[in-house]
Amino acid sequence: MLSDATKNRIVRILLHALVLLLIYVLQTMVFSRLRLFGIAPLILPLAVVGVALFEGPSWGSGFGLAAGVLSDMAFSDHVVLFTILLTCLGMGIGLLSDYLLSRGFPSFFLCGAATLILIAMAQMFGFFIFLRQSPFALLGAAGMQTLYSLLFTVPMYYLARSLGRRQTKI
Amino acid sequence: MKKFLQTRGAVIGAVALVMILIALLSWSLAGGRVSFVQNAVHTVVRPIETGIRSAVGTLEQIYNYMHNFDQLQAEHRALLERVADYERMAREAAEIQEENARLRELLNLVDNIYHERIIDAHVLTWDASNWTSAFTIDRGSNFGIEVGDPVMTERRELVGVVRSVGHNWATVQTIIDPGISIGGQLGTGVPVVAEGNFALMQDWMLRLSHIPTGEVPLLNDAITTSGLGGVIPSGLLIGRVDRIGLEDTGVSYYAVVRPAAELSRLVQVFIVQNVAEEE
Repeated sequence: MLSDATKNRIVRILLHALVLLLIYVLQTMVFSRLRLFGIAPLILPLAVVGVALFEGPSWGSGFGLAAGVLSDMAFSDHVVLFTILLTCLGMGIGLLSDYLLSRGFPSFFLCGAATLILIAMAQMFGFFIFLRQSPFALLGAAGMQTLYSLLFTVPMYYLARSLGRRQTKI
Repeated sequence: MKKFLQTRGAVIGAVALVMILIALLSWSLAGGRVSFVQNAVHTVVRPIETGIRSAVGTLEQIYNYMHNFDQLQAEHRALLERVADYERMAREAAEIQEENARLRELLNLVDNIYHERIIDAHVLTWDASNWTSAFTIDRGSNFGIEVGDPVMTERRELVGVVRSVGHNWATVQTIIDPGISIGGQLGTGVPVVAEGNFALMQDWMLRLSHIPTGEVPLLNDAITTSGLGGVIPSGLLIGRVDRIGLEDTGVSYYAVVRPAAELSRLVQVFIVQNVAEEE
């Protein structure tokens, strides 16, 4: 028989997997169609920021790893960029939330903005260096992607907070 | 720090190990073949994507039926006129074909019909990235699809090239993707390179670079594949010239090309494989 702690852990993992799958479906099926000037928002990284902020580095990095694998499938422009980046960000933000950051919306917004900027820079790097594309077009797309994605910080914050609180109760 | 490492060291170690494994698998299998992890996850997620896409497609159809009825009627009338035109052209083409066959026989030429195997596929999902133009189709290595296979519409308009292949899915990089480069030719037969451009990708366009001064195409000129290299068959329509400009060097021209295939409305595509080489 499984102990209560093990059962709780399994329920917690399943709940996170369900939320991740839901966000993945939204990202690939819905938000990829909600383009503004040809740009779609990124919500998967915001989910990682939320889980890391409310549940610490272990859950943040685990969730980041799973979200990273799914993101690398959804965004085929890089091979393992998101897997590495989101895992590291999940751990980093989780550590900051354990020792430095308060678990409120301003922290979530700042971490979300920093994450989105970092991702946009990493995404445009190859296009600028190897494919020699126009830096103005790349910066424009990076800025638009970051700003558009930031609009979704409010719903993602409440989603991550409710998930974190539910875990605390479990 | 010591306390932190004692309590969470195992978790951090496990996560790092998994990441390293994924990175190694991905890099070792790079060059079109996807990693085992991605292939497995994609294979599991694909039925869910298919189901959701099907539901979304049905809802879209209902919406379009209710709101675009007048537009559909107008399109229907225009299509009937076009069908009449095509029927007339088909009759003329039949006559030309017969004449062509007679002349071929006269000259004792071999038949030049493509030795192709065509595999049909449906578009499953578009890549969610803002930095690439690609989509996933519902056929993969189980149908013999390989990396580099050209993809076209039923009207032989080039759509793109297969970039990666999984068991029951494949990713197609479209002709407007910034990472793509295709051998093309102008109507005069002058070879050109058609390549994706990041700034033009948002407008669903691509670019022809370094066109010699004496060979500048006219607006609306057709650009077709040259067949050079043997991967993409010649004669597939890439698109038509939308505008022309002078390169920064001042000694050659570039052209912006509107793809012939309506990429944003793709539902079904066809993968072309050259079976002449295999035979």
